Amino acid sequence: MPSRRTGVAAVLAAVIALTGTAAVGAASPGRATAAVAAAAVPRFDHVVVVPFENKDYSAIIGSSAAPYLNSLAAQGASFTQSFGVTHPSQGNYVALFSGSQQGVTDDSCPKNLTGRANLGSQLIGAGFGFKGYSEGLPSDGYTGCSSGRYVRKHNPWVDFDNVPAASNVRYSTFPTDYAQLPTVSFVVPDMCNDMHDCAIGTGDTWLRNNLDAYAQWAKTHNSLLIVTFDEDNFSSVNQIATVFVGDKVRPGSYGEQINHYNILRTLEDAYGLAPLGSAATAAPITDVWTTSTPGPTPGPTPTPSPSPSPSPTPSTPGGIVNGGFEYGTFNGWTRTGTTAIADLPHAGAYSGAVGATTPTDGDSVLTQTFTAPPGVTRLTIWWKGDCRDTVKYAWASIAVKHNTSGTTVTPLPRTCTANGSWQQVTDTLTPGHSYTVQLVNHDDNYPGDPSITWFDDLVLS
Amino acid sequence: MNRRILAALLSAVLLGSVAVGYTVLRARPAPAVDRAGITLDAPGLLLRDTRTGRLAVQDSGGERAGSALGCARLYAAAGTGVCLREGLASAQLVLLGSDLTERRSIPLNGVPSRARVSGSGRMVSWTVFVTGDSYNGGRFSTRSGILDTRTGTLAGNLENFTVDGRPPDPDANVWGVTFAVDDNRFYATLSTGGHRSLVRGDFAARDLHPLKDNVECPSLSPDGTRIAYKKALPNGGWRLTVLNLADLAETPLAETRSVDDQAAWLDDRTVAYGLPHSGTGADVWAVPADGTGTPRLLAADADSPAPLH
Repeated sequence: MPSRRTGVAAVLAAVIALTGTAAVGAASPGRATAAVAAAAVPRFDHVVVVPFENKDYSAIIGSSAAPYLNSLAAQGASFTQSFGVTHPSQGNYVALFSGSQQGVTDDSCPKNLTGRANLGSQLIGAGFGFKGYSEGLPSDGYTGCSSGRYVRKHNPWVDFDNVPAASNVRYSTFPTDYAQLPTVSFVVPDMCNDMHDCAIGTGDTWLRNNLDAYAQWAKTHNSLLIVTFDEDNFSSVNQIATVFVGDKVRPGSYGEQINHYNILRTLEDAYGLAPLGSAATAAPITDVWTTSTPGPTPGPTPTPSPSPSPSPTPSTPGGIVNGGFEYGTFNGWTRTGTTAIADLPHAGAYSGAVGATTPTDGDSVLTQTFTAPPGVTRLTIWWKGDCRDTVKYAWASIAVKHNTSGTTVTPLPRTCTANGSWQQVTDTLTPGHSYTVQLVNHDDNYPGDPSITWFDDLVLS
Repeated sequence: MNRRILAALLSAVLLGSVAVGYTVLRARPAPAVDRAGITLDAPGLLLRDTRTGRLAVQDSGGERAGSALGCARLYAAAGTGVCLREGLASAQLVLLGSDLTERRSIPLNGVPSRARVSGSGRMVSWTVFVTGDSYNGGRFSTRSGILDTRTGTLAGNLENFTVDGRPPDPDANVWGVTFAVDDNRFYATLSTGGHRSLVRGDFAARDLHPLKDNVECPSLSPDGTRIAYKKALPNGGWRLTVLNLADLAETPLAETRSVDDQAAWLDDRTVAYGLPHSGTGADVWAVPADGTGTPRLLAADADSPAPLH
């Protein structure tokens, strides 16, 4: 069996050498470009991807059935709008691994996918390591459809003839010295521990017992853990939980819409690999990294982009982070009271909603401290109010503290309006000076006349 | 007396014009010419052309402009459109801007059934059919979800909402959502234990409150006082009926053919609905909401109506 696989691999290598040159060759010039563009995703020494089975987002995140997964979510980036691409399982695994379902629309086995590029073949072809560690796999290189609680349908690399048999190994060979891990690996729990046949709590405990040590190690060793699900369990939308934990991950909830293709694209960008299939049109995940700058935003519409800044907190030496809320999150902002990312933009896809359409108590505030970059003399802020009260009880306001000079300016004094239009206010800045901008909505919590304000597109010019 | 005569005259004129409209439509099916610049802002009737399966808009003169957008079910309000689109990997919930540009697409499980947008354009809901629930032996079940487009809050399964504060029974199904004007309250059908009830939902509280049995696919009138719905009949058909929310009094409408649809209110006096015609396809009809009058054909070869104001 292994010798046959090796033979296939050898032939395949030859095929790649001939036909594959087109792809590799074509990718090579693009490679430099990709590397430049890919700077938005850090290159990790090790990434471990753990896919679980068939759970709705709401069955995991916020659920007491999955205490460890929720603790992981709190330690890392948790994606609140993450989706599978299809049903049933197998197509999702193939999609995550290769950027396409490759025509796989059912769980039947074996699927034999010949000569089709995938994350494993790409990594290995570029000199990186790849392994799939499968629990219950009876022997390394096993290609059978099932054995006990192991199933090949959750193990996509076996389907691709260009991934060597040596990459298909038993989970029992997962190293205890994590530095020995290949660059990228998948860990696939068996049909019980992946929550397919057993309770959520079983998989949750398995994850803690088996991968928490890696997760903690990853945080200090330029490494990453990705926990995701193949698909939901037939709610009305295919929404799943996805969590990133590790080094350079800025903890928080992230609201950009992602699916398996965005995750593949992110991994491909990390290693300068040409994105495959649907990953080519999927945005890489760039906003969760502490190394990221507000350069490429995930939203479809470009937002007025502040100049690049090396570090977003606590004071941004070089501009405002996420001033258009196009990250779909509050990255860069400090929040008090009631705030939400809103699908009601001045431009782009999102704005920041402060207050709510139901009564809130007192001030809700978005705050960010930044330093005006060289050449910047003006701050523009767009806002839109829906104030159902009078200004005595409810209002929108904007204050800019000039930290360097010790004064405070109020580009928007207390205003209560519900005229439905976006308006802009400005403040004059001095390059190199520090500023703290506060975006305020005040409501008196009186039933029936709630006040909410949307803010958007804080631009330095 | 004068007023009565005037009303009678007006009725005659209206009936006459309806008859003319009917003739015109039947004689010359509205050409669904693809046309750029269709918007959800101009007055008209949004519908799905059943010959092409694509979104179209019919103007007040009965002329239809088609789009290239294929949808299985449609609705729109206040410039927000929703198109439930069948797809290879998965059906999609597609949110449309008023110029029909795709603002967001979310993968749906199952087969598209119902779609609705709140009057303000903020809240969006959908219902799909799924298979595989253990409690009904492989027959179809429904799943419904709601998206708050302002906050991004997504409730993927209304069966996770409580019923009067308690988790619903495992066999619960929810379908046919319709929104109240406050963008928080909604009405829907809850099926559990063999009963199909009208429930009033509270999105913020994530709770459903049963109001009345045997009310399916509710559609709330623009003034918020009445529900148009399909009432199951002993013979297996459905009678389009209006429920007055204040006293739960029922008024059967003049449409006597079985209507299996979630009706759409054109205004506070008229509801529209799709009715399959012979062969494939359907027509959109309208009938007064007070039980009087007779059904009139609004659009041939169309279903999934939604008024555009």
